Amino acid sequence: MTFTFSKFGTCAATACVAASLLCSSVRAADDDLRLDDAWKAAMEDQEGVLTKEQFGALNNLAYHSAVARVCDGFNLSLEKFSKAVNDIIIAGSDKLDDEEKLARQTHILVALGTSHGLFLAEGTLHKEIFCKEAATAKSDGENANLWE
Amino acid sequence: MKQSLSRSLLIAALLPAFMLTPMQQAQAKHSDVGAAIAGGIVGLAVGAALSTKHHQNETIYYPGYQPPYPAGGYNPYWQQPPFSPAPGVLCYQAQQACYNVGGGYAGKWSARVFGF
Repeated sequence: MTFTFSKFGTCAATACVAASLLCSSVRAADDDLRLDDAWKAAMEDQEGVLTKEQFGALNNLAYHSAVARVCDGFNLSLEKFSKAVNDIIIAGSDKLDDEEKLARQTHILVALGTSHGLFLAEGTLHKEIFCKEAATAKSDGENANLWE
Repeated sequence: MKQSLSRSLLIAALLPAFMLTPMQQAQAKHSDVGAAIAGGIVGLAVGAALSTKHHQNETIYYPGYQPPYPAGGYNPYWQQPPFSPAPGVLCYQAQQACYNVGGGYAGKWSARVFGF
């Protein structure tokens, strides 16, 4: 079954269930601030469209955008962010027809939004350490070039 | 034409959440925890819409894709213990992400360990 934009209509029906899932899952393991249960719930059956490397890169983009929303002193480079998203969308699209390209693009943007939301939750639940670590990463410079 | 229009509308609908002006970003930074949780809920709702009961088009799978877990094996796949590539860092294979012990997402280690 092809996923199309119309599938977003199912979101309303699933929102209540999803909300209850997340609210019961807003906790992190003792070892770090990761919302383990929420990540697990959100990502089930999402493999296949993105390679593992692309999935990791998309999470990284979502983290950068979430930091820019939560922490003072961070602005997202829209040019770099857009290019990075487009690079992921384009890679692997060359042999797809138009409908499949749209389905792939939709999947990727939805996945990006889902990860973005989860990082927003992690960041605001533990804003002080979340932003402190982001500042360290920014000053370190490695893998921090999406912030201006 | 219709296809192009649909694609444009889709991008227009989804990207503004990330593509904020500095002023908009400054305003967004004052959002409270509840708003962020709500953001997570929205994201989760969308993710849930794509979940097991709404199988996606397998024709858009990348070539050579093999499910990383057998049927019914999702829970143990996601719940496998993290590994530590360095002191103070935990990495989660299924998420392709690393976290600082006692802290949040570690982008540098994620990129190093998972090769993106």
